[in-house]
Amino acid sequence: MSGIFNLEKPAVLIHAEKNVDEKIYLDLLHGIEEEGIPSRKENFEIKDAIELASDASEKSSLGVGLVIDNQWIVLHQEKLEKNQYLFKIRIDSRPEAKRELGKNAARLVKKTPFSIKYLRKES
Amino acid sequence: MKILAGIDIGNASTEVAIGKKDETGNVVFLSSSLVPTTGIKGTKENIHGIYNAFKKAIDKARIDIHQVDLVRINEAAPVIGDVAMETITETIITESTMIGHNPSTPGGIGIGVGKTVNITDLNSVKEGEDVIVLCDSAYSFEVIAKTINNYNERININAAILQKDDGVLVVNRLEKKIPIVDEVEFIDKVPLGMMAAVEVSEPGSVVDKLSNPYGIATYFGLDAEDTKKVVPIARALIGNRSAVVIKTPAGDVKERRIPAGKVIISGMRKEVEVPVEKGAEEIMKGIKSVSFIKDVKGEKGTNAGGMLERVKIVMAQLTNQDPKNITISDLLAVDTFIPQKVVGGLAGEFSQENAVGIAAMVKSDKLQMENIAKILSEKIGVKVVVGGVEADMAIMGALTTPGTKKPLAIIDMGAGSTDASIMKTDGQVTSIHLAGAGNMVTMLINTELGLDDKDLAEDIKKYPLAKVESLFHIRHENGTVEFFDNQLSPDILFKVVIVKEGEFVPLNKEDSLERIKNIRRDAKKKVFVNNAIRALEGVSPTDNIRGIEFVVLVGGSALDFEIPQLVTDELSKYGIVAGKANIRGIEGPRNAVATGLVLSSEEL
Repeated sequence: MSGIFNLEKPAVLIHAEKNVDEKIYLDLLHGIEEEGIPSRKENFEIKDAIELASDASEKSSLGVGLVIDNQWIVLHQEKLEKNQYLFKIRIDSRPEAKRELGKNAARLVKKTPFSIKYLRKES
Repeated sequence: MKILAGIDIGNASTEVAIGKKDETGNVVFLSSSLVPTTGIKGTKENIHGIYNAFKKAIDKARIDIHQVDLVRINEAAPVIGDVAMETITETIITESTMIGHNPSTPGGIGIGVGKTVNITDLNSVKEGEDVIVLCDSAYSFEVIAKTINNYNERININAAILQKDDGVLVVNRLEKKIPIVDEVEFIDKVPLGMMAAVEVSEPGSVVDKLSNPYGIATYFGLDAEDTKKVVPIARALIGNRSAVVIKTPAGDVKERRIPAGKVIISGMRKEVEVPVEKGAEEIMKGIKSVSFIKDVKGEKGTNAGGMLERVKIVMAQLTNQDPKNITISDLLAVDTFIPQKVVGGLAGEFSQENAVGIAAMVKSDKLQMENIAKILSEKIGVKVVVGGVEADMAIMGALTTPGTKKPLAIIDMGAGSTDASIMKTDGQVTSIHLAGAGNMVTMLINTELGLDDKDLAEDIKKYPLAKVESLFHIRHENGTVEFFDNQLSPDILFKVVIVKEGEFVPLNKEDSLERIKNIRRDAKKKVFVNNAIRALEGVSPTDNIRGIEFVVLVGGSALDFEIPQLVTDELSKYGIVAGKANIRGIEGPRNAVATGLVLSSEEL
């Protein structure tokens, strides 16, 4: 859905595997919040975050989505091909990297350059 | 039928023209080439570049080296330029009194005033007291928010200063919202128990209370004398979204003018002294007032003295002469600024300090052109002679531009110097060599943007900018949008990039495209527009540049995508037809001297 019929508040959409504890990726949410961009989370059964990366971004009215499975966190933007992604980090990456990834999701909305201080070390 | 080659060795490039001359003196050009000059103009190191350029042109003309009857190289004007820079102001914070940095996401909105206190010491604050809390990186935003919420029932926490980038996260969890400045790197240096004010403005606006001396006076209850002292603080905070001012008893921010010494311009009849800290305009007035410059010196033991001495030593080494025999024949000074770390700043803040950029022109005895001709002749087995004066050759070449006629003036905008000459209807030529050209523009861009990278500054000078607006499109600096089928790299997304021959070089600076573009254009104007007018005044038979009708721009910097327009635009105000040359109707502003060397040969 889109346009005036979409009553959802604009937000970065996060699709998270339902069996993964939110505590593990809380830093991601804080990263988005510090940049002042709203986010919303939905839980599903997610086997492969990369394969499903585009689901969240296409559903997000801001066109930015994060998908989390048992192992990976993937950042996707609706304009990208389905199986591509902007950043991918392991779910057990250090907190600073997760915070930075959240920030970058917000910066994608704000159209400001990415920060890659910690992400570079994770990939 | 004879085959001739003209070779022009410039500061930045070496150019060749090859032509066929028949018995009646008609010349048909066969080919041309351009390679970067190897070594400094007029030294033996040039041979390598000359040979490459020569070989390239020969191959293009599909002839053999031995078919060439004569090679003529330019008698280079015996001038070499160098550039230097001197800062004339500095900002010193003697006790930490302000934080003027710009975190990307401060928290809250408004202004908060109170005594600085560490988060660990909130217990000992008296009931009802106004405080500003300091939190280092050991505390998470959850703990900070909880602590502030708890204590706010007993005391008034009016603002917070954080070390980490947590400002918004803390504010979102507060019952009473307060302004928060975060990412303060040296938070341990913030003095405790001192009156302070924290201001955060709305997104899209800038601080207006702490950037106003009377605003600071209002919050700290300052008298007229103290208000005077806070002017540099207020000034340093202009344009920031957030700011902190801390009043320590001995605290002071000083903006000091550095005594940089005097430059002494000696002419034929008089000597003029100008203190460097008076700025470029005064120095140039001094230069103008001396009609024929014999030498320019700096006051001994001062920065100005050191700066000019360095230029002379470099020139002496290049030309194998005693520094004592090197004299400066022209000098171009321009006002500029340098972003410099504020001494004693708490968040690594920068302030824009005023500076003077100087380009100096040195007359050396004679460059070793005869020597170069000899070595080249041995290497290629062809007769090599040193041809006519560079300026005459340049005009001869420039006259091949369609739509020109004598009297004609040319401005040769190179890398090291700006030269001008004028040819009257009777063929008589007057010329002048001035300091300041492409290299100086590069220096200005490098320092004003705080790049510390000459190659990058050179690229910013040479190529237009663009902003990467999405993974699939960029917006060029003139507003046109270009789309791409393939995804662009996330590394350059939303950044300002240099469009360098189809490649995008990201600038890892927060400066906006507009600011970089303005600095680039201003640097070009300061050097080339100034010099174009100075040069034409120098060669004009009437001392008035309105007496000149046609001006043709040649040289490497005339190839620039905007310098010729800037000069054309300015000269049109004087009723002068000025534009880029188009040598032989095909070469553009290049190859003027090399073409002139071929056309003017009388040896055959």
